[in-house]
Amino acid sequence: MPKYGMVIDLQKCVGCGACALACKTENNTQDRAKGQTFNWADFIYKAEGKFPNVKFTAMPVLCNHCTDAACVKACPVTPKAMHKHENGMTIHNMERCIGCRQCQRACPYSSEDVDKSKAAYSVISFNDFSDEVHPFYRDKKEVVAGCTASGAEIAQKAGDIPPHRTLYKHSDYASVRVAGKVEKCMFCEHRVLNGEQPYCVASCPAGARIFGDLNDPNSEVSKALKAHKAVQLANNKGELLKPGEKGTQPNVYYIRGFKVTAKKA
Amino acid sequence: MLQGKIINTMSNTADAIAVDQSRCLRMRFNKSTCSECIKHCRFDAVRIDECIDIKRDACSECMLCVSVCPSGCFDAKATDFYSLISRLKKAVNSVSSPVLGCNERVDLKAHERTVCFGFLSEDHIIALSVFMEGRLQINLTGCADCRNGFIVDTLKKRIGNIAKNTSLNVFEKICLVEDGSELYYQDISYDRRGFFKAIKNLTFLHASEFFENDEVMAPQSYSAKKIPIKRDLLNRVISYKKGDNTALLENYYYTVDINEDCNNCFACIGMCPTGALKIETAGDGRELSFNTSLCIGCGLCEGFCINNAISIEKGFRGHNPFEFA
Ligand code: SF4
Ligand code: SF4
Ligand code: SF4
Repeated sequence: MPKYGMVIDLQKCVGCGACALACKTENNTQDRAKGQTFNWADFIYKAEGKFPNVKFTAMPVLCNHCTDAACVKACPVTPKAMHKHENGMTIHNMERCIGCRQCQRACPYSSEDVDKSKAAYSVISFNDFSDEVHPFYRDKKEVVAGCTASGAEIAQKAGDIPPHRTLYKHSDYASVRVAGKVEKCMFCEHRVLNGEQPYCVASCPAGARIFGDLNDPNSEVSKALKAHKAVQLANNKGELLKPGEKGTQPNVYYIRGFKVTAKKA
Repeated sequence: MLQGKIINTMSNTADAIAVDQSRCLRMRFNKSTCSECIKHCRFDAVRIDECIDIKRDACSECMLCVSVCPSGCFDAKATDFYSLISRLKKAVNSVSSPVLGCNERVDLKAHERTVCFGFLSEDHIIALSVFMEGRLQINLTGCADCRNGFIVDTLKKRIGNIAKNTSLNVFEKICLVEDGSELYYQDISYDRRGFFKAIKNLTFLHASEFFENDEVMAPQSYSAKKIPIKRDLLNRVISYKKGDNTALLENYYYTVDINEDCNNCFACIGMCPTGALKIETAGDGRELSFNTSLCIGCGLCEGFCINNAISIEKGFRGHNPFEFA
């Protein structure tokens, strides 16, 4: 059995956001609203210092598919809605989820409300009980009054919500979520099972994302981890796990972090 | 007589219990300790671990699990209680005191038959006593020789509770007949047309039951909100019965108390299996609101709330039990 993980090369990553957009199209996630990001692939952006001594970091973030996943431990239903697959992925079963948000509370990389907690991101987002998903494509108001179409009109012409919906099938999750359930990155298991790479990996123009089997010493991820000193995130504030610290045993690694310093003239 | 017999045999479908695991309180909340079904099963047939299972060989089909489960996880496949009530009501047109029998003993006299009477919860019996115009006789004359004979005591206890808890004249309306000489049975004579109509209805019924039986019980989505038939029956009773429902509301309904520690996280809404809790917009804020008629008093919300902000009590003290407040 493989144990899937990801390595992100920070020196290759240009912070372009292609992965985040790719994920939104592949997984048909809705727009950020009411403290929920709905970004399965997201970023920690940090600007520090004072000109000209500034440092800007863009760190791609996603579900860490933790080995000791806090979300899974917290899920109260049986069999767990948030559960581990043998291949190491943390997968959410939509059928069994009751929307109690215990997973969101427990995951160190998630916040119940990113606006209130001022968190950079949240791995798990929640679809409110009383809101329909993709409100933008249900709204009949023209985007620019008297000039453009409305979201609802586009969806109707395209015949789906969202109009660009990627149709895929998976035994645990649907390609579009419903009200009253959480959602998060699934490592694109629906693609991986077909021998494809997760869509964020496939669309990164810089080749900064490496995905593969951490158990296989010859896989690209294992080679990268051998060649470089890797770090793991400890939470969604951008703090890293200290050497020896295990946390929830995240399976997303970052290599080749860097610091840019202005050259003294 | 022969005609009656044909009809009875035809309505005697294969007996089985459908399990909808998504309704089980233990499946929903891993800290729930509910074990009503296990406690009441005399044959150790119910198993709950990663799923719920009824061991078919061990099960005697006494239907006690069906009637004790607070959330409607089990369903006696061969009974549609609503149509049973309406057929019994119809029988009152022809006979003064219809007899309800069981599928196990088709040799005993009855106007209508159903699965083992163990499925009659207090709520079912209340509904029968309110909706039936005449007196209903339950034919228990075969129970003494039946492996499920213990349900007679259960029924007596349930009827006793109803008499104690409410002012319903349940002893007069529901008559448990254990001694064959006390059974008062009048034949319903079918004329030709009536007979063929009855056959037609029954084949139709049979077909739909057969279909249901054959269907692999697709597990309901855990998030689907559904009240069990018991709660629905009582809701029908209190909206149908004019006059004072205080005793019913006091003994069979629940109220949640939400205290000031509630920080409106609304997680309990997901936990509640029936939809009794809901978000209500109040001004520009949102708050938790509650509907007594949908609450089964399972206590999941209380056990689940991490702020200890919610507790349940017996009874209802508001104005309209059917409204969210
Ligand atoms: S990052 Fe959060 S959601 Fe993902 S596996 Fe870890 S604890 Fe679960
Ligand atoms: S929101 Fe869903 S996945 Fe998360 S803990 Fe609750 S039931 Fe489990
Ligand atoms: S409100 Fe609470 S006690 Fe009532 S049905 Fe819902 S979870 Fe159970």
